[in-house]
Amino acid sequence: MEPIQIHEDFPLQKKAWKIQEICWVFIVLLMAAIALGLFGNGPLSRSHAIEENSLAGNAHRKGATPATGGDGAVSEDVSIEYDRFARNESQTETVVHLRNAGSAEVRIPVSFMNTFRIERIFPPPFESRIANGEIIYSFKTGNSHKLRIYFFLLPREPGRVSGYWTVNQKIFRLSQFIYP
Amino acid sequence: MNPLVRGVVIYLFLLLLFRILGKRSLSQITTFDFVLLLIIGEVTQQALLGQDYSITNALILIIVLMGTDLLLSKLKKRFGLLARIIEGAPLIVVENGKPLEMRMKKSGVDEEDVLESARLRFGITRMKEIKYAILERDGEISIVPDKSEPEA
Repeated sequence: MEPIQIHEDFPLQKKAWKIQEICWVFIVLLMAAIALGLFGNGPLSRSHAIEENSLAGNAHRKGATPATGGDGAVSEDVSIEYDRFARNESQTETVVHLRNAGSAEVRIPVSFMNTFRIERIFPPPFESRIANGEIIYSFKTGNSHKLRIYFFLLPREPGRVSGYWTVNQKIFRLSQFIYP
Repeated sequence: MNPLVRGVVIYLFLLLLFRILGKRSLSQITTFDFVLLLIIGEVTQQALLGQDYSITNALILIIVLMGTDLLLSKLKKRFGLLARIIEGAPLIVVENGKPLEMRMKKSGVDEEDVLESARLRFGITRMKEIKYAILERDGEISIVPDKSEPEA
């Protein structure tokens, strides 16, 4: 054979090339997934919480009875926007959208605090108290037609978290995955 | 997260990634490759340290990284196949002045790279004068000049 002393391993090399090529495709796909928000910050991640059931009738129906503190509003509309995918120690934003609500009361289970630290709430609530294993934040919304309440949260533990947030007696299920 | 887990995860991830990207991926071919390497170092540093800037954490991580490296090198000594999987094996890319097209294409080496190495080391100017060009495990191309070829 060749007069050169070399420990080539061509069969293994060919296998390695094949694996490399598969991995390259995988890397490109992963980049697309990252762009879409598989690891947070993208359309795949940003989502609206589904209302589980309403204690005060179907609020989506026009002319439905407003929940607490409707102040004679035509129709109250509540939704929660949040990140399905978040990363540990990296701030995420959960936004409560309110429409035609005279006041707002957001209830967050205390167990939620095991995973998240609330960094800031904007606008700040005028009152917060704890009852039945929930932290209750109350907001005076005045006559604002549209209002957003921002919760800036810092995940402290990786893994899957889900829990129920209650906004003006409407229950929302938030299910999040925290990457390490 | 435990510093041991952090260190080992980062170590193995980088090992795997650079293996996937190929030997020649970042072997400082251009200035920009070098800059990219610096940026990767910066990002890795943040992931390794997190919010913890204590000396203890730094020392722990250095020990973890060196320890992982030590352990892996012992394992590679013990199991030849593992070494070849992790490091790859040298590959002949030019034989008796003839470029081996398929091997070069697959390993991302082109004739220009070979000629560059030949110029740098031996002042060889033509492919004909190269007896062997070998893509080494670290991504360098080593050149064996053809002695029989009369020098011009």
